[in-house]
Amino acid sequence: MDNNEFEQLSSLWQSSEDKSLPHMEKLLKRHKRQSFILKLNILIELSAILAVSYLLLLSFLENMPLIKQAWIGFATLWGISLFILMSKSRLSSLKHLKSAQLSTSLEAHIKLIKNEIFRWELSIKATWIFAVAFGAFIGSECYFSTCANNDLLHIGLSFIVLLVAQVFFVRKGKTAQKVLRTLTD
Amino acid sequence: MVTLTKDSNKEKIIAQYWPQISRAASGYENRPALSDELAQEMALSVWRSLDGFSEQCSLNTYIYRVIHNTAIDHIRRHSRLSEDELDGATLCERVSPEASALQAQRQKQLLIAINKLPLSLRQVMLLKLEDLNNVEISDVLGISDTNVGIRLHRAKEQLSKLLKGLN
Repeated sequence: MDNNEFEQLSSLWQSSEDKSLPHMEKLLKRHKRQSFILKLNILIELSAILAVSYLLLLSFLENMPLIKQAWIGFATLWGISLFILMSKSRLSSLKHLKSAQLSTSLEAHIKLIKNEIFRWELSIKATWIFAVAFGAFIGSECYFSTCANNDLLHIGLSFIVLLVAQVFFVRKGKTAQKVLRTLTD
Repeated sequence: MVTLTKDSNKEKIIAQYWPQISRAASGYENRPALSDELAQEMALSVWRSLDGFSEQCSLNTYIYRVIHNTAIDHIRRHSRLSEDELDGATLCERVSPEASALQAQRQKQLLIAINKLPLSLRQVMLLKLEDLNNVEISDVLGISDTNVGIRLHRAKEQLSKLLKGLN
């Protein structure tokens, strides 16, 4: 392609019709709404952690059976560990998002997508651990006491939810890997 | 020195660069709805980034840098899965009624070909089509002049082939 041909292409490109100019006020409002939703999500997760911690405290105060105490203890520990690791990764992403770097450096985007991949991988591992522990808890419950049909239905549903979540995390993780490959190409 | 942080100044800058923003959005995103959204994201990023502009480079370079990095951010979040499945029918139809059919057809083909370029080549090509020189492109993308030259050469070659294939 010679210079003349390229100049023609350039004029052709620059003669394309523009999109309609956006209303900046509306865009700024939408941006504020999105950061509010992000903060709300963190607040919901924090409330869930507090609720499980309260349950753990209650299980000790009410002298619940050891298996139940162990299960609630595990769920609390699992939730808190996951929340801390996720929040650490999110904070690192937020730092990049807040810095001007994101608008000016490809490296910042690569770091963000790596953080995202870390969070999906963490979710996959955490879900496996949770499913195994849940299975162990159910197994011991059924072994030491009794399992009603109704309980089995709830257990089955819980495992289906965990499986669906796992498929979702795996798919999101694979998509993020694909994006990382595009960016580093 | 003009204060860029005033909202009225920012609006003027957005309006001034809107044609470039609009074209860059079409060059990075072939899905019409997402292309419009990307253009809005780019405008918002430019608006927000103007506060951080400290004349370390020209305003022109800075704005192009913001526009193109917003596109990367868009790719990161919306994962351009359709990149290899580009279909002429899904392209943004931005042809004015006055434009000749031939001109419209050529614009459409150019857009299809650009969207088919790999990201690294597409970036330099989009900037070159906006008449930026190699030094400016290297400033925008943060790569060396030599690298820009190599990428541009490859991009032109691939674009020629793609355009021939479309004719």
